[in-house]
Amino acid sequence: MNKSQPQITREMVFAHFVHRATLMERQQIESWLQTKEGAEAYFTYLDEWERQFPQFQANLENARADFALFVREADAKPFLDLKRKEMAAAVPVDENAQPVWRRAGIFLSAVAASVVLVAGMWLAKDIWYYKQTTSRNGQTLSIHLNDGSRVLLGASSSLKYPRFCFGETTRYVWLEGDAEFKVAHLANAERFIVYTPDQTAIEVLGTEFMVRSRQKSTRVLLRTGSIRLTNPMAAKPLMLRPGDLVTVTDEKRIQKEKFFPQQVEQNRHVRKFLFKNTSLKEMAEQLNDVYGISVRIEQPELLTRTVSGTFQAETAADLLEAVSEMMKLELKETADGYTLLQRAE
Amino acid sequence: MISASSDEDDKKTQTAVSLDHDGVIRPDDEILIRRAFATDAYQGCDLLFRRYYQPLCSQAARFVYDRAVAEDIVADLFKTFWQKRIFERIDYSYRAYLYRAVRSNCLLYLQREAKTTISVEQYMSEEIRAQVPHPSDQIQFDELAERIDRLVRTLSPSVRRVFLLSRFEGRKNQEIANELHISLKTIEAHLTKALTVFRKALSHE
Repeated sequence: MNKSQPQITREMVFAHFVHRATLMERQQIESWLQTKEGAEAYFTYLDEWERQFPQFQANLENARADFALFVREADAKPFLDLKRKEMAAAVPVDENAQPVWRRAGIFLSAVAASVVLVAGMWLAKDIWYYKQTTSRNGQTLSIHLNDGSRVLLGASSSLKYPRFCFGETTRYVWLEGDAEFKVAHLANAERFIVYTPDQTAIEVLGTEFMVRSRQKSTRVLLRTGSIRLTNPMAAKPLMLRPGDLVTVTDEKRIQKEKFFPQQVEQNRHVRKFLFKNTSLKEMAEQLNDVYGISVRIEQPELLTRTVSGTFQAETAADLLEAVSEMMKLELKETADGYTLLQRAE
Repeated sequence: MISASSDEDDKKTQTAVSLDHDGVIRPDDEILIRRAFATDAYQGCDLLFRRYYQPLCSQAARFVYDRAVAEDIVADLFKTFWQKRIFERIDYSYRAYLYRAVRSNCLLYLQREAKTTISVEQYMSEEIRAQVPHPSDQIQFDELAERIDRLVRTLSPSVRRVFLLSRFEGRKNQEIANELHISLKTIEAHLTKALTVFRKALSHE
C-alpha cells in the first residue's frame, strides 16, 4: 500500500465533488486525504472547483466593505464589545425551577432593565466614560495620559479620551484641532489610536508625531517611529516613515510627501507654524481656525501666493508680521482683524 | 505590528525557513498573502477575503442551501478570523483552514436549524454539539453535501420551487405566494417540508 497515491488526478477529485466517483475512487481519495500532500491538494482542488462551477456568485465588494467596517469598529469600540459580552454572559444564569411564565417574566424584566441601563449608560457615555480637555484661543495645554504618553494640545483644540484603564485595554483618543503626541511604547504592545473628525485613524505603538485636524483637512507629520493611517477614502492603510507629512483633504484626497528632516527637528512646539507651499488664502483660514481672527487679503492675485518654512510666533500678529516681512507685503490692523496688501512701490 | 515588530518578523521568517527544511512544500500561491500578514494584518485579511470570499460562499451554499445564510456564515468566519487573530496561528495553508472552518460552521448551522424546527426546548447549542457525531473527515462533508443535494432533488417540483425561491432568490413568503398564486399557508407547509431535508441528511450520520 505504500505510495498508492499518485493516481489521484484532478478529474477524479472533481468527479468525487459532483458525486460521480466510483466507490473505489472514493476510497482512494479517502486514504489520499490522510497524507499531508493529499489533505492540502484536496482543498486546492475544492477551491478550483468552486471557482469553475460556483453554486452562485456572492457580492464581493459589499461584503468586503462590511468586513472593513467591522474591523474598524472592532478596533474603535473594544469597550462596547466588552459590554455586549457581559450582557450575553448574564442572560442564561437563571437556574431556578420556577414556572415558565414567571421565569420568563423575571427574565424579561431583567433583560429590559439591563437594556435600559446599558442604553442609558451608553447614551451618557460621553459624560462619564470620557474626559475631554479643550484649550482656548491662543492657549496651549500639556496633557499627561495615564499610560505615560504626553500630548501638547494646540490652541482652540480638544482631546477626548477614556477615563478608565487608559493604557491597559484602551488606548484611543479623539482629537479636534492641533496636537503634538509623544506616545509611550507599552510592554504589552497596545496600539495607540488617534481619531479625527474626518474619520482618519492614526495608529501607533510608540512614537512622536504632530496632528493638525481642521475642518478642511487633517495633516499628520511623523517625527520618529512609524504610523499606520487609515481613512474611509483610502483603499488600504497608509504607512508613514519619519519625516513623512500626510494631508487628507475634504476633496477626498490623501497626499503623502517628505517633509524636510531638519524642519521636523525644529518643530518642538505647537505654536510653531509649519507651512509648505501654503497659499496665503490657506494661511488666513488657519489663523482664523487657531486664533479666531479674520485676515483679509486685499488683492486677489495674493491669494495664491505661497509660503514655505517654519515660523515661531507667540501671537497671530507676530506671525503675520513675519510673513508680510518675508513676502514684502504690507500689514494693516483693522477693527475686526488684519488686512494684507501689496506694498506700494 | 507597527514600529517594534522586527523581533516578531524574525521569528516568523525563521519558522518559515525551518518548515521548508522539513521538506514541507508550502502552497506558493499564498506566499504574497503570508508576506502581507507579516507587515499588516488587515491587508492580509483583505487579500484572503478578496480571494476566497466568493468560492467559500458557494461552498457554504451547498450545505445550507440558502444564499443569505451562506454569505453570513462566510462573513462571520472572517470576523472571527480577525477578532481572535487566528491568522497568527496558521502555519500551513490559509485555504485549508478557511474551507475546513466554513464546512464545520455550516454543519453547526444545520444542526441548530434542524433541532430548532423540532422543538424549542432542545435549543441548547453546546449540548447539540456534544450529542451529534461530528464528521471530522472531509469525505464525510462531501457525503453530507451529496445527501442534501439528493434529498433536495427528491422534493416534489412545487415544494422545490418554493424552497429555492425562498432560499436562493431571497423572496418573502408573501411574494412567492403572489407569484405562484398559492396561499401563504401552502408556502409555509412547503417550506416546513423542505426543512426535513436537512434533518434527514443529518440523521444519516
